[in-house]
Amino acid sequence: MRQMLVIDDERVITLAIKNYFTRLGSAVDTAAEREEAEALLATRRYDVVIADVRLEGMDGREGLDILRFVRERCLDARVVLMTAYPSDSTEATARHLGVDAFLKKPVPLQHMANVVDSLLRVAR
Amino acid sequence: MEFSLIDTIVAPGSLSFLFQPIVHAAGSSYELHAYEALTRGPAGTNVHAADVLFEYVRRKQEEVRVDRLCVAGALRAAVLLDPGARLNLNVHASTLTRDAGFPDYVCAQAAAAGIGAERLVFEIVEYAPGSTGAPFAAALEKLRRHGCAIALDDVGLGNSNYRMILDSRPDYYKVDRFLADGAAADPYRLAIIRSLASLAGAVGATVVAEGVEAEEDVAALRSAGISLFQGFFFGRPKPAAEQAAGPWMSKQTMSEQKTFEEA
Repeated sequence: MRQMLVIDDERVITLAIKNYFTRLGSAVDTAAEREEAEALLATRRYDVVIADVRLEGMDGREGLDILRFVRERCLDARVVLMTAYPSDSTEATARHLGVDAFLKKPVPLQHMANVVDSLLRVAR
Repeated sequence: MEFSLIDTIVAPGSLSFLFQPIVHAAGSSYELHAYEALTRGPAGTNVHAADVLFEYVRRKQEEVRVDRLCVAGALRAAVLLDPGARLNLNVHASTLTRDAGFPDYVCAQAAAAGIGAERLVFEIVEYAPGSTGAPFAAALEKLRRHGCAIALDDVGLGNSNYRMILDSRPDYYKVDRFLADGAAADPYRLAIIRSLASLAGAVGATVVAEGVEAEEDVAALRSAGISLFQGFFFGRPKPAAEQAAGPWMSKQTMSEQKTFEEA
């Protein structure tokens, strides 16, 4: 079963994504804080991590910290970042850190599922 | 963020406590030596599992606050347990370093629960090189003056290495399940355990093998000089009331019961 971690401080969003992917047959954990997400990543294995870039306030870029955490530990997870406030610098940093997909919110769930499917089809 | 998970963790009644027996091999029988208190986080959250809980707590740098809550809660729950058994409590090395009042606090909590400090064993977890020093040594000294014993957790893994053994001079070396599980079938594992038992014995300490699940491993570990065991083979973590109902009994309680029966 596909293991997913969804990180967003808006619980209505994590719940919607969790419900959608659970119906598709995935096991989905959710987290609202960077530290909570990192604690899960340090102790559990995930195939896909979907994270909002901003978790704590208007200036936050915690999603990039989570991406960095995954890459530094060489965790075998695809990382999808999403943001309602895209900027060239944030996207450039995410690409530099090795993000697998960078999506602008709102992200239709069907589109998110297509992105995840395509990422998992490509061998690392 | 308005409400953090840490607020849920530290809310009254959020944490719960299980206890797992540590047994002593005495000839052909086993007797209860201690219980280790194991914390569970708030039900229905990601941090219900202890490994996620403490990873999260460390990332929030809340070890001191949560360690105090865990120790106080475990002591309150442990009043039901066999008074002849020791009680193992986990504490971060960082807590001992940062919280100079921790030794007096826990001993006061133990006294309030009617548990003598000499029954307490503090298992040091998550030692990080450079995080210790004089405050850490002073905390250990204070705990020892209260009559408590010191255990080093996860020996053989990560940072629980020779330096930490030197820094903490533990009374107990807790050998991780990674080494103990499957020891019967692996001469390398057994050789490492034998060397740790020899090292501990040379300085008056004792090794506890954790994660023991198979009878053949128990036999192999005993042949390697191990006499204290913890793991599913001997008992799963359970609430204090269930552990108090049996089947394990300390040597002291057994001898008291015998005297009572003889009388």
